[in-house]
Amino acid sequence: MNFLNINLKKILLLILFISLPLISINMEQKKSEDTWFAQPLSYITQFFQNAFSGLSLGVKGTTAEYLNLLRIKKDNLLLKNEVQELQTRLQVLNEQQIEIERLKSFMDFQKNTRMTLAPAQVIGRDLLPDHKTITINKGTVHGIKHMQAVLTVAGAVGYVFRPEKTTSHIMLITDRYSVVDALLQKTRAHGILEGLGKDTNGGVLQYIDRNEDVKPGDIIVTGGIDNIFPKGFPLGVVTEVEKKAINPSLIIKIKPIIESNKIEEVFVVQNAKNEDFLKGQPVEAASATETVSADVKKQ
Amino acid sequence: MISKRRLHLILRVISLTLVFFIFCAFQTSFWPFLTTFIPAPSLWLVFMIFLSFKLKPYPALVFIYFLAVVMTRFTYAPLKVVLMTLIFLHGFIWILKTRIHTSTVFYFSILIGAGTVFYHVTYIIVSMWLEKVPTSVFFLHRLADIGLTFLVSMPVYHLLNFINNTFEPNETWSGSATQLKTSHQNLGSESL
Repeated sequence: MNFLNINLKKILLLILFISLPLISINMEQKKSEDTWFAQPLSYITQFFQNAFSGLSLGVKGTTAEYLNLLRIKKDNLLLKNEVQELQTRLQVLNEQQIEIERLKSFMDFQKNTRMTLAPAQVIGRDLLPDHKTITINKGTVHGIKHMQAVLTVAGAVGYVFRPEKTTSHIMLITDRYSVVDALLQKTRAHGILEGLGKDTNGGVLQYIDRNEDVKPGDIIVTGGIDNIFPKGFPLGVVTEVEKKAINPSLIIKIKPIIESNKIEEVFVVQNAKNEDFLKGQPVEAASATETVSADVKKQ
Repeated sequence: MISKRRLHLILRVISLTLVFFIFCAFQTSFWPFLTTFIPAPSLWLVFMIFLSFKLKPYPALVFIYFLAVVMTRFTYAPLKVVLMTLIFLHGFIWILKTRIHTSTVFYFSILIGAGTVFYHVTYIIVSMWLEKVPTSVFFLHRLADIGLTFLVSMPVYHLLNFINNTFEPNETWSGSATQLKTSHQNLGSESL
């Protein structure tokens, strides 16, 4: 019989409930140390916390990266457009720069020579491939006359064969009907440059004595006879020298300095005034001649 | 007072001549400044072949002679060479068109292809015959020219045909069949 009607089980439970806070108070006093039973729990907790924290950071990072990518894509598109616009502007500026330099060299050439020159623009080319002629926008009203020489800063182009009122037709030195008095710059030997109607090997220099020392790469300049062309202005570069047993003269093939399909502006020599470029060529002419000469030698 | 039929005829000649000028100017002053490597298609040649193809032989020849003179303003080629080549070309096209009868849309293009090859071969031969300094073969250039001319022939044909038809005199359906027949015969003798 239980005198006090005490349930031992309940008492034990009561003691346990009371003791637990007491134990926890005791544990609170030693915060820095983990009790033996709490350590595994801590490890598991840390593991899960770390894992989820990592996951969270990963998700956050990926989301941020995705958002960044979207922004970058947009920025990229804008930048691409901007670059394209700038490139176009740069190209225009470069073109203008080249044009300015070309016109400047034109002006300088005109200023520094004693010849009377009329600048003109090329407005047309020959209808048939069998002839090498160009049309310029200056004619008899501008003082252009038959047989006046036409040249650019770099070299001789041809001569006027049909002047009209406001336009003139120019026969290029490469046309098969063209004949120009020429001389070898190195030896001063005179000859006649006849056109062949082609751009490469555009002419052949005739009547040069077979004993003359001529090599590919040598420069051919204008002879200056009749005062049509100024003397010593570049015509072309020797590409091939042929010596035939029965021919008393050499057959010298020439590559013209000027590429006929690229001429845009020219000068018509209204009066050569006995200008002699053998005493000193214009810078542009010298550099163009050197370039063609180097090309021929390389070939 | 000038009759309507004659007015149409004059307008047709003027408009076709203007188109020829435009073709030549396009070839000499437009195309070469766009591209320096590819030769321009010979629009003038398409034009000449069109005349030989569409018009009666003798009026066409007179018109071709006139256009050959116009052509020499755009080239240094001697008139004798141009005329001689164009006579042969006209004869060649006339022979082809009177012997080959087909309704295919490419008939004109085929004529252009054959005519362009014939023109280039004839030009070289005539140049060797008549000129002191004959022309060169320029094989690649001529080959490109033939190809390009063939390619542009169809659109150019439609353009020329449109102009040609615009100024062609049209008979209205009036009167009896006998009257119509007589008027057609008159038309044939008067128009090009």
